[in-house]
Amino acid sequence: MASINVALLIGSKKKTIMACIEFNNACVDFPIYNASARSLKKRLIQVATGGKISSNEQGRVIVRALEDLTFSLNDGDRVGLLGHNGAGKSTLLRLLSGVYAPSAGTASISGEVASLIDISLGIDPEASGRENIFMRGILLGMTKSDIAEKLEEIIEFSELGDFIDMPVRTYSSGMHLRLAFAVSTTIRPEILIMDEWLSVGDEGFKHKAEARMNELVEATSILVIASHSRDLVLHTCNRVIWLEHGKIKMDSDPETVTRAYFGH
Amino acid sequence: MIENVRFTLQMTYSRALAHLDRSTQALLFDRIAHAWHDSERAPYEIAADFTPPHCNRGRHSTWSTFRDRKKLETRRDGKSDTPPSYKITITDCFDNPVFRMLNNSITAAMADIATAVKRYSLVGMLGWQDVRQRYRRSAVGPFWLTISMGVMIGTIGLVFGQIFNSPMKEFLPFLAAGMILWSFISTCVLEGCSSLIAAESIIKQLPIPLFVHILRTIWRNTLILAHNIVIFPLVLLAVQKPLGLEALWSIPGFALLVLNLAWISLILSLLCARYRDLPQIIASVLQIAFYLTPIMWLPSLLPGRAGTYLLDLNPIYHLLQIVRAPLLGQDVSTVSWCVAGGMALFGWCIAIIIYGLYKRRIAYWL
Repeated sequence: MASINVALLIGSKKKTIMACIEFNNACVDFPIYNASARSLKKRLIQVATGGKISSNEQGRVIVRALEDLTFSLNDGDRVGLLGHNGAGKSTLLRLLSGVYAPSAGTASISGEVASLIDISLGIDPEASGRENIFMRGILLGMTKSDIAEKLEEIIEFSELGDFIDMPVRTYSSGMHLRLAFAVSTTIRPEILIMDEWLSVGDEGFKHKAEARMNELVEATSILVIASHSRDLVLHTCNRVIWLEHGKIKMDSDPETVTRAYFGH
Repeated sequence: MIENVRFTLQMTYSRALAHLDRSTQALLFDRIAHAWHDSERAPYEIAADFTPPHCNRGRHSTWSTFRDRKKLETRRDGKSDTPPSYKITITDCFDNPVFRMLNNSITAAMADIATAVKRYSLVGMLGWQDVRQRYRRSAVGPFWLTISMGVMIGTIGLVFGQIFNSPMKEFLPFLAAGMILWSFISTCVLEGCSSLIAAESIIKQLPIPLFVHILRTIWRNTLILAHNIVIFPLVLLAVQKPLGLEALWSIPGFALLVLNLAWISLILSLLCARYRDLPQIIASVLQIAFYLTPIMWLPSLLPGRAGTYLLDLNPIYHLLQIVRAPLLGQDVSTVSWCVAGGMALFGWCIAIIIYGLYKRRIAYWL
């Protein structure tokens, strides 16, 4: 009886908690394979010669990109990542999106993740705009029927008009980005991962894009965004993590962290 | 169960205590009750506490859990006790780090492959995109490959047919089927090697199951095979050889071939992501395999003993035979079916283990 109750409790809990991320001492180490370590020949010779070169093997350069990260994110968290170049922001974003697995420690991510780090990924310049909408949409995890449903809306939003049936290589770079933006922002993931705020197009389009981005962020339960902009962090985030040399230097509310980070 | 034990124990005690006077009895009962209370938490952790950690946890965590577990195996109070219960010994057999790691990695690999297969629309789209890219700005598109293949089959057929003095009606369809299938097999393996390296940008951006990229290569090559196979009925027409219903057997044969190619590409793509000079080695091995396998020469031309070595011991011959023989109106030998089936089974077991163990490292290697 008790066990049934527990099961019910867990069941109901799972429904209410939509997304959550838990990091426990997560580390990311990049082994640096130079050309010689990467070849099978060298490896075989190393095996054959035994201890002599294996000291070299042991001394292989390892770059520790992230070290002992422990934090948890829950529903409603809008997290900004601050840090200088090389502080490990992008690596953390990749860890969060599930591309990398931690080399030590645990990172458990529950919820549907979408990463908008590079919105033009998967766009084939030779294919038409319409084909690319499908291509990009499926890459982001939408189904064909989903995309077909939203196709008109995407085309209308991108303001590409008749160009939609032309190959993407004929587009200007602005049009290219508009298309990528329009498709990428139709998804509604539970966890959204971004590198800087997406902003595309001319003055008129910018406002539309801004509204659409806000709508997308509203719909997600966890947002993680890496940024260098103080205003962005203060406006969108309710929690900021400051990374330095792969470690968390500060994890607090935006005002406190930005004051410490930007120094005023 | 514990309740039962407690009851029996109490019974034994009460029988023994019946001889003692009341005050001693009370004292002893108090002691026993106290002792029970102390050991309310069993000295050994129950097996349920050691369910394997979630599959996406790091290797690190697995090991540390194991260490904790070892600690718990000794009594909490540090004293020795009765031998551990039956339940513990059972879990002990499976609860060693090697088994745990293997179990985790197999689960992870299976999950990845299952999600990849579920996202067949993505695989289909990516494969089509690759083929369509060859059509763009070209009137014949991938048929260029078909044309060159056709010309090659014609030339080799004429020259070697004369050299070996084989009847054209037999040799030409044999050569055509063999060459078309061989080009499918070899490109699948070769492109399989670079499938993960080529998809680096996607792998580093989106958490798409990695097996998708392997399936993409196989699907793309299947589409190209569908172009090339057009040559075969043309050759049959030219030599006026009929195509019987038994040719349908090549469909299950092809499925088995693809199953085999999938595990081969999976292992090779992984190795090639780590060791970048491997594709060159694979290319030369394939070249040798091409000459060792009866594609350009008829197996019937082999003198007695050589046949055993070159045919029966050659796995590629069996893989080829399960698709080619039905197309040529021959029976597939049971040996070929068994070898192909066995290879698929054995290969997939190995592939799943290797893939599970190294899957999490792939993104780091790229």
